[in-house]
Amino acid sequence: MWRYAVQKLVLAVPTVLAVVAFVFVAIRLVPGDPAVIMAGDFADAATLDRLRREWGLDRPLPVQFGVFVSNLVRGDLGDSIRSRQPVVRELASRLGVTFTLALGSIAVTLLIGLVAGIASAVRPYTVVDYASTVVSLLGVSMPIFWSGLILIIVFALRLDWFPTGGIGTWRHYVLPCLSLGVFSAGVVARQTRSAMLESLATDFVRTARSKGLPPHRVVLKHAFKASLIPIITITGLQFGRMLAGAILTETVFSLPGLGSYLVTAIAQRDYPVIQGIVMVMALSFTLVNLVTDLLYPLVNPQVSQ
Amino acid sequence: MTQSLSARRLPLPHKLVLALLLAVGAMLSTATAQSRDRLVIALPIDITIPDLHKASGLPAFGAVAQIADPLVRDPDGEIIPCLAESWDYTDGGRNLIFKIREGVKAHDGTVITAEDVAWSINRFREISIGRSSLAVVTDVTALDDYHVQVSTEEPFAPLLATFSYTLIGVYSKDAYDAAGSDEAFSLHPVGPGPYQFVEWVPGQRLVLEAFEDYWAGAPKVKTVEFRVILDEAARVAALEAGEVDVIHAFAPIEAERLSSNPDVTVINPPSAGFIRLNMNTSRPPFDDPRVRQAMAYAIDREAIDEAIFLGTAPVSHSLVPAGTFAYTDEFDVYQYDPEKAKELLAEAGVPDLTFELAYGAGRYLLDSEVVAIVQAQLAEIGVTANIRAMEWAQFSEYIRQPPEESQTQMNLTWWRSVNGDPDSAIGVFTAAEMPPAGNNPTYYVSEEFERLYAAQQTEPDPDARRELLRDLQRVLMEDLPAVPMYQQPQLWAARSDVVGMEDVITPLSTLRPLYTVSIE
Repeated sequence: MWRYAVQKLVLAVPTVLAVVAFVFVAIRLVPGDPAVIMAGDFADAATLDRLRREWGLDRPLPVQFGVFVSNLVRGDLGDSIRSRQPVVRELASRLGVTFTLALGSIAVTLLIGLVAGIASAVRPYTVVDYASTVVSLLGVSMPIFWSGLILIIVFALRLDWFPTGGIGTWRHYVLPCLSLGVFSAGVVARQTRSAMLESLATDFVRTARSKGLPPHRVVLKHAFKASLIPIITITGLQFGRMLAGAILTETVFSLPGLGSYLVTAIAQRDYPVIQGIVMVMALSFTLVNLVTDLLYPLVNPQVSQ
Repeated sequence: MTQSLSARRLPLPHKLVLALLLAVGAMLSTATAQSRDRLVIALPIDITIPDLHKASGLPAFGAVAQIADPLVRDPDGEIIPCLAESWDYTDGGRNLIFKIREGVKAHDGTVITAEDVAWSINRFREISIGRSSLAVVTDVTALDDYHVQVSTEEPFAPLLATFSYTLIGVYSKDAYDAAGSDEAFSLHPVGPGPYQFVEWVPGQRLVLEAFEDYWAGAPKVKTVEFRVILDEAARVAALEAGEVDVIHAFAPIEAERLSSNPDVTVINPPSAGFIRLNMNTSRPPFDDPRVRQAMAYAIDREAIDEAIFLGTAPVSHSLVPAGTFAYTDEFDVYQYDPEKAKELLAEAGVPDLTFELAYGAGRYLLDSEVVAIVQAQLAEIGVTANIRAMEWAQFSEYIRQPPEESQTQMNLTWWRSVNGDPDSAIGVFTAAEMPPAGNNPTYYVSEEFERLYAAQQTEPDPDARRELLRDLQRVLMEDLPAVPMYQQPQLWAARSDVVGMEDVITPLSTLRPLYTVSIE
């Protein structure tokens, strides 16, 4: 098991590097000169040349990449072009916010999604099922910049239960996690429903029922456990997506996380920041995949390495 | 095949959901009222670093400028003393000598002298992105403890006004030396300004505390927090909820709604920024002045102000911003006249004109709407404007190509003067500003313009200079390298108990020293 985990981690390194290398080249090929953007209205030739030299942007691409990798090995992601602060420091403060948002959102997703999915599966083609299908569809269809604003208007402005944005207390995360969580809940609900329907139709469940086990034990202990693999897969994917920065949610609720920071960095062509965030995202995705891979044998011993 | 279980519901998950709903319902968060010795100002962009000399992003300037102090201020277009008590010229106007106010304390208790001032100006000249505003300055030295000399090769008329520019702030050199490193100082700057640094959390807020010994008097509000709220709707919501006290950069339609809210006051200060439709004069079709003039006749600028901006964006009548020295609207003869436009186009031989109109979508308030209306108005006279929406970074590179390679035909940009003086606004049309070295997206070149421009820069007599500037505006409005569209609306809103905001908002949407603002 540990060997498997270590193997996967080791394999992650070239994967992440490849992603970063791709972005490194791609972002520099896109039109848009960070020196011009930084200098803004005051860009004269001298200022622009000075800025480009400062950031090593006048050197050939392979040289720039070489510098980047050699810094990376020492744990240095370079300095942000815009703020001239170390990228590592800029990312550290924002990573916590994104992580908290993702955790809270996945909790909401699981709470709503699992309940709706299980309810649908044990009462298929009834009102309960149709209602939860509609709610799932609504959740997935509502754009976050709309649903988020509605939540702000109702719960923050009218009812004054929560702040309209920013961070500071646990209250600040409730509305954003609701908004983002509901979005993914629909996906999880559908997946749970179909996986559960399959499990509920299997022989061993019929056996469990005929043994006289109480229904909720049949559903939760046996059928649900058997459905866990696809549910874990889809949850892992959703969580990875959330970690990658829920850009719209962070923007609407003014959360200083990785997503909104990435959008600003791209608009500013802040290459070191873009590279740093992409690396963090690639790493997170890899780690989440690793965790879900490790969970499979735990929930279903039939899955062997 | 479906199987149904017994009629009994699954208790646990349902109970959990119910419990959660009840908990939420029972929870009444306390109203997030601000304690009234704290003023919270929302910023539409992030502050990258609290150091004024390293600042980028116009809306952030006013925030970090509170820690420093400027030499002079220009509240109504008049230059009034600030850190500089008085000034004088020597050597035929080539030296500007500031007399520094005595006894001005900085936040660390040290006294501000000419050495701090000279060092601050030179630091600005070295590292600020706005340094080109002092490009003509050759030397800045402290002559003694309270006199600073700024030298230029030739007399430069707009020089004094330039020192009211928000980015040229004075810090304490003693504090800088004590900080140990440039970076350490940038993270905790110290100056003589009305507010001192308390805390900076990147992406979130900058918190400042009143400096009781501020030379002009202790600030009325004890704490000022600049809070980053990127999303426009979220900013407005925060203001209405009372979480922030001051916001700006929101759409005119929100202004209508906010005006009817008794807890909120909408402020509409004059704006030094305006929007231009630039035309590439170096290649067809806009190398012909008749075609350019036809555009001005064909676009109904009043209608744009009314329809899109609900009257908050008055038409610009000159390529110099309204409210600057020597501004005149007398040369804007381009009343909305589609017939005249068609005549001119026929004369120029291009009655079915087709061209590209490019812009950096989303950069300026309601720019997409403006561009769409322009396209529609031009279509009415048989002209096809193909809209090209570009991302800002891409667009800014697109309009900086050298003339031989430039593809742009018409594009939309903002422009401004950095102080109350038109020189920084009108200078963009000189040959020195030809891309890629400079900023002139019209590629305009005119000998007469060059001559007049050079003359006004060195003319010491204000009346004579006014005449020269008037002539310059005449030339520009006749040649029309760009159509002046409208003044960029400046919309602010504050909670009704905040007093004095109108006096501290500059035409560029930055902030003057906030020590006069109070909360009732």
